[in-house]
Amino acid sequence: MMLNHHIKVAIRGIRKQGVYALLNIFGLSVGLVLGLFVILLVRHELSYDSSFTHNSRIYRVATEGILGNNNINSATSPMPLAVMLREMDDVEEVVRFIPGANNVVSYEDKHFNEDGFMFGDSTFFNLFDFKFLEGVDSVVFNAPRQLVVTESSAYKYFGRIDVVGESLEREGINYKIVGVCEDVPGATHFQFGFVASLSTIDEILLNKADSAYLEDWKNDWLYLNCYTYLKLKDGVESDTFMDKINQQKDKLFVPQVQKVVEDEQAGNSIELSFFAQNIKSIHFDSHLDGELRVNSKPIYIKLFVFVAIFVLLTTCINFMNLTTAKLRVKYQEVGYRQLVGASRTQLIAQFLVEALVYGLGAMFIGMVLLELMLPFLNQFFGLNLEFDFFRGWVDFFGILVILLFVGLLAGSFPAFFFSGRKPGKLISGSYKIGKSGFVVRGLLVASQFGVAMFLVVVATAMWWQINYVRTNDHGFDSENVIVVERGHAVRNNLEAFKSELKKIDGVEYVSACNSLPGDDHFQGAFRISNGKEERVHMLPINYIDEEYFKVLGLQLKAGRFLSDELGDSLGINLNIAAIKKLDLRKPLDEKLEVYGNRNWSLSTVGVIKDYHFESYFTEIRPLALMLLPEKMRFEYILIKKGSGTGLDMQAVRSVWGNYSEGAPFVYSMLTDRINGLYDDDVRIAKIMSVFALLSLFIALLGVIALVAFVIEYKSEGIAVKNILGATRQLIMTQVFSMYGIYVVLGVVLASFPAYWAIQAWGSSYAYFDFVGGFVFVFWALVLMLLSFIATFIQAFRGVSLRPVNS
Amino acid sequence: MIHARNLTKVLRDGSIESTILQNVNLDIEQGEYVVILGPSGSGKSTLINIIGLIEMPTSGELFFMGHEVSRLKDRQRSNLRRGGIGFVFQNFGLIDELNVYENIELPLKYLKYSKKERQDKVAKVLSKLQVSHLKHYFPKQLSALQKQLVGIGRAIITNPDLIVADEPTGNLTSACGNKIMEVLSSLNEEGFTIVMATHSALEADRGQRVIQLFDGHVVTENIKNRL
Repeated sequence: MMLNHHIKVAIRGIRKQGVYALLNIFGLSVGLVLGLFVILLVRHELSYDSSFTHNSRIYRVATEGILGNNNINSATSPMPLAVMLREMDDVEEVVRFIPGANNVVSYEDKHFNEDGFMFGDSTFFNLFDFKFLEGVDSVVFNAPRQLVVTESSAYKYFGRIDVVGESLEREGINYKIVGVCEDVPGATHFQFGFVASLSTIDEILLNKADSAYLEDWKNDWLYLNCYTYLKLKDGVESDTFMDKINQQKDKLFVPQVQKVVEDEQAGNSIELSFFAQNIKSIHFDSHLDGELRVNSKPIYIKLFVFVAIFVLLTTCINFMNLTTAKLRVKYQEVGYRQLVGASRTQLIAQFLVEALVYGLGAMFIGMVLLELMLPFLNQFFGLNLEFDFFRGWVDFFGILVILLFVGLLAGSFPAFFFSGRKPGKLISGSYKIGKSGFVVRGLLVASQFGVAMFLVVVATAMWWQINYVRTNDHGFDSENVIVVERGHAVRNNLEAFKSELKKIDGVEYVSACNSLPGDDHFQGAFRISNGKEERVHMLPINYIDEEYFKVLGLQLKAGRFLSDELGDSLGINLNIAAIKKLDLRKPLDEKLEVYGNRNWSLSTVGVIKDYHFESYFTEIRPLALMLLPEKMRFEYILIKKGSGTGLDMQAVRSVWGNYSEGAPFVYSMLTDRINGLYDDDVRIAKIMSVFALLSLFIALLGVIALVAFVIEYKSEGIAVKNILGATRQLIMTQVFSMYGIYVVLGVVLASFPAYWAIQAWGSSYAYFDFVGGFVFVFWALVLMLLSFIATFIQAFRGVSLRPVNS
Repeated sequence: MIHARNLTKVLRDGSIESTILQNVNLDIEQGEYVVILGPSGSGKSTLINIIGLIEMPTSGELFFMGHEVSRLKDRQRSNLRRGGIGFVFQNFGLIDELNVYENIELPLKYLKYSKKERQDKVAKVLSKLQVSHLKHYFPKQLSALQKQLVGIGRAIITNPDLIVADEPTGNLTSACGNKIMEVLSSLNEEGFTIVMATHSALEADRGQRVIQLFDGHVVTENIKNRL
């Protein structure tokens, strides 16, 4: 009965207050939009791989261990592991897959480079139960050359999805399509457009090598060439199971290791063991070598949850401040209500319901805003979040819980604040606001400014670091370098292709290489002997041609760059980090043996200065550069154009067309690709920036409420000062000085957690440029200036009050 | 009904003490119409607030319907007020967000009367005060007189033992003031006990008894019926 009354009064109150109420609701809705957005974001991050049935029992088996002097920590595993796993009673399903190289897939006259082409075990779709379309329930591969395509891939090549029975061609092999599955959900730790039967690989390898090689490839425990997933039976503990596996594998693994050690006469230890990662945990915090996608970092989730809670809190604080700012009107109303019979409980209920009505209005506006803004937010942040209020009860109750939380929190202060006053003083209008009330409000505003300061400083620090990784000297020059994908399409005529390209105006150098800065590099094992002992080291290798050095502008420390003319097919360039790691005293006199082939001895012909061939997340590691063997497949063509000159890409495309046998011409700028390594952090920085701006807006609203309160609090004094002839500026300065200390307090106190958060975020970088202390000072001053401007706008009216009205 | 003995009210502001009421004695019987008359600052509002159980005296005794109430806790006084005392305010005290009907109905809602009872009672009061045609109007749409009529309606809706009116004509023209005085007189004739504070001697004449205050002291007590 009273509920109707409370709701009615709240709604009429909103109408009566007009702009003031709208400001209040809008402030609340902005907070709620942020809160909801963060919930969507966190839910998205935590939802990875949850689309698979029984995902709590699905694990990826990863590998760790020591090979010579190198630590192995890889998402991949050896092929024979799956064979052993399948024999275990505790296992329900085992599936391996191997991502294929970036190759052209063709259908009639359609040719596209595809790097989402995988080879999967026959039961791939039993474990990864993607939904199948076009009348097929699921697919179990039973022959080579069978292929499942995703819906998007089907549309891309055929313009339709009823393509079962059609064929696609890749590297001279025709694949028959046996099923079309839905697209891989964005929240999956791997992506593909095609899955072919794993048995096709036998055929591919047999085209290139003999059957002995194929058998080795399939049975080699030291070759981490595939990704292995398993589904454990219900009730099986993964840790216990993996202990069992690690004991069992030794029977099969140790003999091979012993053989290698004997053959190679290596004194180094080789140890490998396997560990299980639950599939749902992979995206969240797995950062192994060979990850299939860039995974998240737990710090982001913590940061977002922290931000969401604080933004919601500051929003509620604002509501309290705005609600209690217009005190006089409220005071009298509460007094009258008390005298006509309202009990304290009824008054508290009234305020809580009022806050909930505001909250409901704000939630409605917030949800509409979110619905409207989500496509833009998704595009801006590079996300794919979905918001569907009616998707499930969990969402509904989640929103309800937030609403109740916000409503009750925001309403609680006014409720208990007003209802406890004595009616006599309230109705007489003689109620004086105590100093403690002012201090509480001041502290609330301090906390709002604290949150705003925290966010703007952290966001600035993120952009600072992003700018640093983009503009710092990487040790090579990525500017004006064009990367053409799948360069091996021209490998038969590489030299002719290069000289044709150089005839085009603006082309300075052309090079071929296997890996780009930022890519995963091949790992090579080398044996080094210093006369007393032999050591084995794993080094990342990049196969390049001799112009690579010119294209990237690499710098030499000693010796010379690799050269065809000087016959460096058995030469090697090492970076300084490699020289240090291998402990080469006189590097140019040293020889490195390729592990496993005692006849292949490499001379170090030059030492190059360290450059960032990986992202700034990792320390510059040792690197070996070797010339591309003649028949070796390589990935990229790099074209260096002169700075300040244009380049006719149409001409480049035409030359490519003449040499690539119709392969697609796909290119990008090296700088863009390198910048792309930090896309995730750019996204986070964007999100933090938006949060920072909005929290700044909320904090300024808070100032407006506080100034309204100060003027209310001091209205008589202001009026008297007016009569006595005080200037407006003087009065405003006094108003500002009353709460300015709280702004300073908030800003100073927030600097400490901001410093901590920046450090925590920056710790994921091996090269981190901490934002200078002046940024803290700068933002502190900006916040204070903004709060003064807000005071100016709000107080202008207040201090202009004609004395008679006060 | 109301018996006050040596009521004293002292306000303290830091080290400064000011005595608002000093040793006030009075007795108000059921059905009486008592006017407390005095100039500004004489203590009449404080006295009427004490009688209406809004404020507590600093010392002295106050009996309301046989209960000693001067030392009661807030909640206990609030319980006695609810339904037992109706208030008429100088500035009407209407809730802006509620229309005439709802303003009058409000005390019944707080007292948890059923909807049917509320409808009956409000209809009767609206009719009695001849404001039925205004029932959907909001306070800001009403004249000052209409507002005060609604204020009176709200005060009597629970059929209280006592109506406390503090300067009920303070914001009205004299013509409108007269109308309000007539309404209060007729309510008294119906049996309502009324205590009214005013600074107007003319209005004081409407009461059966006038208690004149000056500087916190009762200076005269004029019982018209005995004259």
